[in-house]
Amino acid sequence: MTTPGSAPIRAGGRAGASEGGWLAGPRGTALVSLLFLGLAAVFTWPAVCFDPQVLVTRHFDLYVAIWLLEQAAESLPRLFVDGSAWPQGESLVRSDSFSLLFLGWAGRGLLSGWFVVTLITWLAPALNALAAEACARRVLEVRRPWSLLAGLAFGFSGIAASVVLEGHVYQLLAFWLPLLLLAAWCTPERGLPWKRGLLVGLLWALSLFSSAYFGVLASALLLVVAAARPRRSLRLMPFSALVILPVGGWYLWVYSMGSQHAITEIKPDLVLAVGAATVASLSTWTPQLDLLGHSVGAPIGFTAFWLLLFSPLLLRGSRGWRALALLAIVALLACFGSQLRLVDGGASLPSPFALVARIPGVEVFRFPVRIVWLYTLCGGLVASACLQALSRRLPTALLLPALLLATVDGVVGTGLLWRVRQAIAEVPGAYQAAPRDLPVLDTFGRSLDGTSGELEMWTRNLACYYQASHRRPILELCVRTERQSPREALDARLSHGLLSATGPDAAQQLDDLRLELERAGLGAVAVHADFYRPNDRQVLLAGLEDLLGEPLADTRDGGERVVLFLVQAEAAPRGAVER
Amino acid sequence: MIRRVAVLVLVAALGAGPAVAQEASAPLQTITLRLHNVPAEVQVQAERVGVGPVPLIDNGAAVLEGAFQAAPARSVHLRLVQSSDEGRIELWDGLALLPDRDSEVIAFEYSVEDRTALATRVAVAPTPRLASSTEPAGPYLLALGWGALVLAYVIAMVLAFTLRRRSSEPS
Repeated sequence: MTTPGSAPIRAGGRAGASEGGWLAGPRGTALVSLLFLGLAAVFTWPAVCFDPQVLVTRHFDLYVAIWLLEQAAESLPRLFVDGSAWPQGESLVRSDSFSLLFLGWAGRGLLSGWFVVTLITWLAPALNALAAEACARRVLEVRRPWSLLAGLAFGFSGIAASVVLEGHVYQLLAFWLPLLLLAAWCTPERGLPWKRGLLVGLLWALSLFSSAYFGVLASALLLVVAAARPRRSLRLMPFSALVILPVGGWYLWVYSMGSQHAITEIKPDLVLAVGAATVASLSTWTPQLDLLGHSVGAPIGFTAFWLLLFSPLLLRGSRGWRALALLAIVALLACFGSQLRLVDGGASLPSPFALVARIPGVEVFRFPVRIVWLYTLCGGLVASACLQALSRRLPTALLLPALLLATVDGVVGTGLLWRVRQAIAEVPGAYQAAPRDLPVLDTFGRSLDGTSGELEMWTRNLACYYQASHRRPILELCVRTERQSPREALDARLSHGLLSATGPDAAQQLDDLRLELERAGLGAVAVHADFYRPNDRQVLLAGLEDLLGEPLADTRDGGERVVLFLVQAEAAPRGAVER
Repeated sequence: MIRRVAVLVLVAALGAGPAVAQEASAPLQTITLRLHNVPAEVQVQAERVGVGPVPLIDNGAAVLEGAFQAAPARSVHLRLVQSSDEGRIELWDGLALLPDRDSEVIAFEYSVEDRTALATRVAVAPTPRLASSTEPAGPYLLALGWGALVLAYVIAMVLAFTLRRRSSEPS
């Protein structure tokens, strides 16, 4: 990929273009770190406030991320949780992030799940930016301040904003990607690079453990490094393979163990299409993106984008950037998935990646939009090199606004400040009245808002989030994505039974319901009263009083009214309830 | 020195954070209802189901708006009813989730489909924390803008390469 006789990208000779003065050395690194930390505080505001009453997110998946962190201590190394999907429990072999599990395990007893996710939300964008900035300096030899552009583009990107909104905080642990690129690219020319090779393997494994998407993106980065620097890569790869092959093999083996927990089947023509980007969602954010489900969009920074497009002109004669620019463009096309669309639901053209969608197993990657991470990294690196190339011809004062524009792209262009919410972190206190070791059935009723699946996902994740605090077993599924959970099934039977228990058979119906609850081995039923219509709520609570007696607790904290009824205080001996 | 300052700033940020949040936290949640595209002759009443009515005011440009405050909650039951000569028509009845503990805007759009009046929940430009509001560009306007930029890019590249080639040719 290199041009024979071409020169590496060098800083220009104009004043201010060289990395001197206040940006040089460790002092410069400290200043840049502080800058990125401050920007991250603004970008993810109010995460930096560490208000224990607040979860900084918008959708429903942060709740289950906190649940995962809180389960880690008991679920490792078995990769199995006893507290959810009671009585079977749930396997974590297909959990979204093993890094999150490890963080929860490492911080057990010291750091709460809330603290870890809030810390990641604030800190990770700054670390991502720092890693990308370091990558620009070492890989493309871009000097400060121009290398800051790579950090701004990667750390404060539209995809990072979407991750915060969706609550997939483990996807913010993206700094492994630039570190991997840096380590693989800057392999020493002489000697056997066994240390470097093992380091590259380790960084690849850390990427994979952070998210399966990052594992794929890390592999793409390694392939590009191998194409751009084949000789060095050939010496490096045998050592990297010592880590990559066993870790990758273990990951696939563990993943295959969860085949019985396979995700809901997806129609062939929707593979790589559901969570795909559109021209609109890559250009800007719209309120429609945030209304339901996930915020499937990632506004790309215009500053870096346009510099990247002019790279053939600005970086002519330089070397090292072509492979990265090509990867950035390919990544940008790949995030459209199998169809190129202008707007969500609009007319589409088949994408070249429609062929990829036919590969068996690809359907597990439901969100092609996440490939934008690769674009923001490679595009940002090349854009920073372009800025440095421009600094040879233009005064620094004319170019510094480009860094300001890149900051605006991140802080304003992604719209995160406008879009993020301060969700209630408090957990209803009613659960504390439930028997300690017996399962709790959460009843939310059925979908009332007419939006398919949205309320179910919220209630499912809320039940798991509450469980992380009250620690009683629950019937809810917290890892798997099947639509029908055991909790929903029993909730539906109980709610329907109580609401329809009228007439001469009412007493018998109530008796049957009581038996079913006891047979299920439940300790308590927690009625989430706000989710029912007033008339239904009245009938339901009265029915439960007839069935189980006076409620043990009736609380209105944690953003909702929860009425807790006791089913049994101690586990009944096996067979005792079979009357 | 720099390291010490960095540590001090971090400690101050972490320490001051909860205090700032404490002061900023509002005890009540403000929920705003907004109903767009309402014909002038149509009367609509809003209700928090089981609690009471929410007065709606004509906000101009066929928008009815009303707000109420309550203790922070995760959801609210709402009902929108149209009064007409033919009786009461239920436009919308359901549970709205409230992801923010401080304030939420819940918007609907009034429409008549197959001679049935109804309201559909729609997205609104989120402006809870910053005063300024941005109306997102329509997708086709966006495409037009992008198309113009791409065209300008292609022309610029062709010109640049042509000029470079000419300047490098021997005269």
